[in-house]
Amino acid sequence: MNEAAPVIDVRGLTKVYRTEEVETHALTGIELSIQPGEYIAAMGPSGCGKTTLLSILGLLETPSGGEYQISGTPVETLNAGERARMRNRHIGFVFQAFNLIGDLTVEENVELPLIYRGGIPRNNRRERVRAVLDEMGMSHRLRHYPGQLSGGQQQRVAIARALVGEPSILLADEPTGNLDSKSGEAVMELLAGLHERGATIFMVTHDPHYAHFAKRLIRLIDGQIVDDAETSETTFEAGLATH
Amino acid sequence: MQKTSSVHIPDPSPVDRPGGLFRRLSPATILMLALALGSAGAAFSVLDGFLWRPLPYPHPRRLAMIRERLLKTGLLGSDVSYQAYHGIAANLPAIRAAGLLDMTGGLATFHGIKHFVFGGVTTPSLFRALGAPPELGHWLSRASGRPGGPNEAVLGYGFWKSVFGGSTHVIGQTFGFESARWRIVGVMPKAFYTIYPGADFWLSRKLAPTQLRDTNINHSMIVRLAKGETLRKLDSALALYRNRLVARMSPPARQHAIEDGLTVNAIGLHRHLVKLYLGGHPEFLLILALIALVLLVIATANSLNLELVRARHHASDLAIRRAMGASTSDLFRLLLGESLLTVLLVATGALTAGTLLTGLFQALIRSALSGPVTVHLPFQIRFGETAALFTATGSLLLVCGIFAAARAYTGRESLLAPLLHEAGAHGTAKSARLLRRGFGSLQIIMATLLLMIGLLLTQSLLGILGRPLHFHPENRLEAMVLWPRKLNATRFWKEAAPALKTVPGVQSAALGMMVPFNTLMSSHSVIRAPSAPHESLYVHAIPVSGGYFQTLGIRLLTGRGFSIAEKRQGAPAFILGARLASRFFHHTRIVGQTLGQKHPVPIVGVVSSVAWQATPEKNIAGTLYFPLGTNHFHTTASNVILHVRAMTSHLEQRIRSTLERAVPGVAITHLVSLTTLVHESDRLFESLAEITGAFALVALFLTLSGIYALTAQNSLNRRQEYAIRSALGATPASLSHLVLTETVWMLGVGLAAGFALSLLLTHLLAGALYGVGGINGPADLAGVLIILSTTLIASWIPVRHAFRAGLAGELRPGAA
Ligand SMILES: Nc1ncnc2c1ncn2[C@@H]1O[C@H](COP(=O)(O)OP(=O)(O)OP(=O)(O)O)[C@@H](O)[C@H]1O
Ligand SMILES: [Mg+2]
Repeated sequence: MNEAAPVIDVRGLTKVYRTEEVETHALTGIELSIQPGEYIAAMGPSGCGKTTLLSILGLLETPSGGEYQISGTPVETLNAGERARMRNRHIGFVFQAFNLIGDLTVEENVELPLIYRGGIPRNNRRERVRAVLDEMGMSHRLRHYPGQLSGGQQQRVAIARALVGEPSILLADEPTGNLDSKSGEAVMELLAGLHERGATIFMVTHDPHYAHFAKRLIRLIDGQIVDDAETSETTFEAGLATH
Repeated sequence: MQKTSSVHIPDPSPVDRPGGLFRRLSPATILMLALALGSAGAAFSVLDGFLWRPLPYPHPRRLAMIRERLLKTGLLGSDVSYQAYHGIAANLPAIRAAGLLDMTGGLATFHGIKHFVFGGVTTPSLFRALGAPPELGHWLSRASGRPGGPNEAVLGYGFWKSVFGGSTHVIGQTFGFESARWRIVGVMPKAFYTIYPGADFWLSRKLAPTQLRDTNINHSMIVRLAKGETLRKLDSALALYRNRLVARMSPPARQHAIEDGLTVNAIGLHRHLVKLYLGGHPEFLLILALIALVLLVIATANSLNLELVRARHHASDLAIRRAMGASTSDLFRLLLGESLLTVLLVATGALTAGTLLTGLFQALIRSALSGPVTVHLPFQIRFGETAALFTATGSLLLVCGIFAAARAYTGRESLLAPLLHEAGAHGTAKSARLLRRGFGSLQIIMATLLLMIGLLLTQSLLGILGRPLHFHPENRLEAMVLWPRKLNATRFWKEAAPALKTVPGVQSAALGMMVPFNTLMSSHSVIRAPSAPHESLYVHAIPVSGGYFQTLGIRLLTGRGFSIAEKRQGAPAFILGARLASRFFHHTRIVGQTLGQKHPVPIVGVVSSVAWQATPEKNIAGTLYFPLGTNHFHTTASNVILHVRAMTSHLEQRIRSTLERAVPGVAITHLVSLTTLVHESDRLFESLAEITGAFALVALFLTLSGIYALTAQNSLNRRQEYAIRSALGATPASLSHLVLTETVWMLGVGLAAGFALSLLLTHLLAGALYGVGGINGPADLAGVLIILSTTLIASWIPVRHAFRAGLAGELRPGAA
């Protein structure tokens, strides 16, 4: 185990959704620590709480109980504005549905996190945006609207947007879910490359093949972590067998 | 473990979710359109009642009134002289029939029972001119109009019902009125009216040959045009008549006629009645129509805007249905059902709102017209079939128009775009935003305009209500009295005054042919200005008894009141109102000057300018008082004014009984306090203020709910975008800023243009409305602040609401 402060440190985390009649225990007693530079994949059957966990880690939702620190800072006491700033500095999101803003061009979409960071001159922002898009192989589509791109291209733009602010961790929820296998593969290659260069990544996936790109695999069942280990052929096959 | 399906279909928004047709409707659109159309329907009923509902006569458009006017003097009434009646009625081929009408009132005796009656004295030809058949019996006979002919009377419907119980045996019976007996020959139907509706009877007028040269302009003349004739042709025939008349005059009379601007022309009877009953404020109808129109524009802009937003969403719903195999006709039927149901709901709401609002108007107008002296309105204001048809057709056209326009605009985007593109349509988003802002601005422009009109009217009405009266209405009683024909005003007062002064509690009493705020009785004359002998002015010329000024609390500014000699022996003398005095003599000393060329009359004093009615009189140059004894007209009615210590019903009884004992045969038609009279006349203006106020509030409400619904719908639609931005680190403040920018944009454009428009309108109305000028700092600022604050609040609430519910769910696949 690494001795530096973990990027993410979660103790006894629970999440309960209350609707009119039902109470859904989406997460119970989650213990999770993510060190800088780790690449973690989370797997589990549909409805086991993967997206919920990711949303809480990304400060999009608040937990019902437990403790949560990002880079040593407890986040429970932060107000909405502080949470937004925390999100902007530390978290980069990649969604299954890409979630690009349809009214903005590729360039404008990617620029958003830098705008919200504030204090970065426009020229510097644009320079940085182009550099990241270049890295993602999308610099030739700067002026396009998301609707004019293929799914794989949209996801690459989304990753560029997640990376542009140099966050502490990249949270990806089924980033290949909406893509064909070839584009999916390309996206996974991209993430692997980022990891090689030191990025911290937490990815949710349904695909055992893609899970294998990660170095650590977490398995969730009914809102609980049932397995947390280094990836290997064995755990991978064991995972298949238990299912 | 399986790979989840990657086919992504955007989920329809809650409003689009396939299900009951009702869930596809927008309550906001329905409410707004129903309210605006209902208001328009009510305004339509008022306009219909005043302007479009035909008068209860055959071919009512061929009826007109002849007016003899002295344009330069301000004598701009609708009357003629006997001389003109004779010259015109018989000799103009454009006229098929003509009748002359005067008002009368007093005590009539039916089977020994006295009734106070009000009615007309008319040439029998009036009935032929109007042409409405009698309910019972027949019209006044031709013979009854000739000297020496029988005295005949035709009863009004209401009087017939109340006094004779609607009996058919009434024909042939007689009654006594003004020392003559009259035989009842007919009864007119319920809807029938001459210029003054609610008349109890019409008596036959006999015109003696000696009266043919009478040039006193104070009779109403109604004519029926011959077939194929028009008002314009009649007008040119009247102009020729006038020229012939002037040519035959003696040279001095001719010079006067030309200097005074003698004209003879005609006005449609309907137009005349509208002018008469709107009390010289026909612009009220214009303002009402304008307000209703503005309301409709607001609601239309509102709904179009909302429907545009909704249509964009419906597009994805339709795309999904199409993908599921719905044919074009299926989709068409879906849209048709939706539109028709909306039309139905809007029409129902609009009809209800229209009926309620019309009822409100009716009540307001009725309460405004009912006072101690009830005025009968010849116009029926009700939410009738035409108004209902107007409202229903309006609903159909407006809803279909709005739906079609919204769909046509959205249809420009490919129907399948929402299916093909994950992130939604692009490109048109910018023009849609521009359109949305345009409509939003239009709403704010209209609301600003309406609020400004409302403030303007209020300001004008407050001006009317607050202007100085220059007499004291407190503790003053006014009695209108009729006395037997054998007495004249001086002799009546000689008997009544000493008796009244003995009543305990009466401080002083006086008689005058005119009392402030009693519009039933007035006394006018045309006089020549001494400073400019070619200028004649139309003035109130009022015979008054001694003590008139003191009893009413009118201040004497210079000179003196009438002397005993002037009062008792009828020595001629004038006292001028301040306005007339300054008009005639500017700054020179007035007392000691004279008026009149042949018989100069000395001016002995100047009193302050009394307000005779609620609104400033437009054509009247001022007031002139002269002693009762110098009045040459034989009158049988006048106003008695009493200054009392305190008003009690016991005192009123004492006054009545004292008068009745002192002057046998006297009738007191009403006894009211001047405070009540002033208050009653204010009521019409208060009602007008209430109607405009109600409309302005509806407009403000429509605009605010429109902006609220728009912002709500808009922030609902953009929730996903907000969620994405939020995930990327946008703070709640910066998100609110994003939404409110749009409101601020609309407010900027809307307020600027609305304010400019209302300034223009102020300029246009300045002539018509009392006390309305240009920019009015505090009122305008108040208007702007109201719009500004309410609009910001209306758009702030839905934004708060959108953000309070978490946004995380928007980021899950399928949340679009
Ligand atoms: N807003 C919500 N209100 C109520 N229940 C919710 C809400 N969001 C999620 N849930 C429930 O919480 C549980 C976990 O949901 P979550 O989306 O985290 O599952 P998941 O593991 O991401 O599933 P999938 O693999 O299908 O995406 C589910 O039972 C879901 O129904
Ligand atoms: Mg999920």
